[in-house]
Amino acid sequence: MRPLSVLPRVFEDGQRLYTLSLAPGWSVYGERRVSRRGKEYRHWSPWRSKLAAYLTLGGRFGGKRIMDEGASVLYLGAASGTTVSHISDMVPEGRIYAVEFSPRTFRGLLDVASVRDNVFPLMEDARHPERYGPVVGEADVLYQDVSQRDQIDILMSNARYLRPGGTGLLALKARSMDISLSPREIYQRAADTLIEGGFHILDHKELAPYQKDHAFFVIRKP
Amino acid sequence: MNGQPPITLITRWYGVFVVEGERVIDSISFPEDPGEIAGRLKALSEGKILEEERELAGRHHPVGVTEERLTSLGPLVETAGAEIPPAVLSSAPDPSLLHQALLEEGRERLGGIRRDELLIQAVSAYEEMNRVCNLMYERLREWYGIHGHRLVNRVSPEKLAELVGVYGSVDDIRANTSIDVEKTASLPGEDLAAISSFALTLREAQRERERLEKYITRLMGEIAPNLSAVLGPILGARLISLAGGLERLASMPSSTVQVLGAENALFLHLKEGRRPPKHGIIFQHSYIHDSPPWQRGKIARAMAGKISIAARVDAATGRDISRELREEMERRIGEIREKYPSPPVKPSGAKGGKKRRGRGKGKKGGGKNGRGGGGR
Repeated sequence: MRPLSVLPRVFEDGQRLYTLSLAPGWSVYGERRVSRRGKEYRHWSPWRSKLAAYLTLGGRFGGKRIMDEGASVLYLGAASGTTVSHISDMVPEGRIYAVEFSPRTFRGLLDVASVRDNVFPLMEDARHPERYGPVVGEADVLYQDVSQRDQIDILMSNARYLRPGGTGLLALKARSMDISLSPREIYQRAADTLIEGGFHILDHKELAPYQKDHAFFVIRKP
Repeated sequence: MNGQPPITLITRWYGVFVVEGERVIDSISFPEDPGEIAGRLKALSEGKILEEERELAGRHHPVGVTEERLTSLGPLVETAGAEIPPAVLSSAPDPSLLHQALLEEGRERLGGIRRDELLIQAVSAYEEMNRVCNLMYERLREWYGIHGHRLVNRVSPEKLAELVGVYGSVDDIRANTSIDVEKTASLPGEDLAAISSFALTLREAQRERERLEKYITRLMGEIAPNLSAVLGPILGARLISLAGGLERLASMPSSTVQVLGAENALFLHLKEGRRPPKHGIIFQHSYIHDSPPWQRGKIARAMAGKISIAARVDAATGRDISRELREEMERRIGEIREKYPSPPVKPSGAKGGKKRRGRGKGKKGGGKNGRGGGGR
């Protein structure tokens, strides 16, 4: 197992990605767990997590270590907490504010949060960041995977909670935005909007074959 | 006020602070109890003003606020963002308190189950039972047909399942009922018993489907009586399910309602310029599928309008206007049927040009792209 330099507590064994578990003995979504030298690692599948897909495809955030073990992460579109649980593994001294609006998936997220003290579940609409402002404060990383038509606007309005110099990770689903345009055109427009909004784009990747018509953007708030 | 560093009100999950520059000049902390904090987070999320905020704003009269929510207490100086003075941050209690509060608050929010969520599950269960019944009935026909082919075509699916389930062989059916059919081929008791057991299971599945239908009818009468009257309970429930809830159905434009369930066709229209779908799931209503094709689009449009009104009334008031809605809808459908009794004459259209749109070939003078704007 070799540690990944750009993220804390993430490892690779040449084939697969793992995170060093914060809650040994628990699988969150049926993922495999392996023990090495008394430590438990959870398999992190690129098919289940867009961040894992980005890393598997060679993405390294433009060579930058984007967080450490004490980071605070604002995660929009937390769903049932699959990727959330892996990020939770990475930040034992930090926090992850997990925003999810759909009651159906929020149930699963609540289960994840109840065994992980660093996951703070918020059943809120990411279109209204002011509703969770008093809870969140300042984040080092803003992660967004919301599959909504206005996903770029959502990112922009939540960026107020990202500290200057902080990193934004954006999983962009082209199909949610405009089905009459080609995914490439949509990515291009999204990139233009982000740059206009003052962000620097550090890296971007399309997530095929793990996700169809998805791109992953790594951006920085100046 | 001008020139001075303005004093501002800052609310965090653990308290409210009055800040001048970097300095905290006054504050009220929330009780360090998860329930107390959960209650305040709920109020914040609903856009309410906390007592503590009101009190501090009163004490420090012209105070700037940093959230839209608080603009009744003072002028908005800047939108709250990441910049929180260190003095405010450092007074935060142990984060496990927030963790506890959010878990409590989250559980409470999930507690409020909407009735339409139950309806959506029930109508999906109904559709699944329907598929199961059809599949099993097909099998029973073939299987029992080996022994009593004549019976299979003479009785309803329910009756067939019951007769085969209760009596088994054609001889026993004849002996116990007034049904008189001859058998096709004899079968040993063991083989008949297997078919008979399968038939009983089918009969039970059919009963479950009926029970679900009654339950859905009752639930629809409760949460969406108008929609139920306009479309029928099952179809109405399926529409709610497709929309993702009564609220959402009510907030959709009726042009969307008209094509709900025809998403594939709609996307092909938007992407590749094929002709737009005339109707989605509402096609299954007999008003549409029993009408001739050239009337269907018009009827679908009229129905979608009434469906939207019905859903909105159901979502907003629960008042019963189903009689009026039904009458208006039937009147309009009658009009359509009277006005368009025969299929439209294809292009060359010299006479009724103003009524027939969509194809637009005659007018555009041979432009072959006359289909794009067919929606109106």
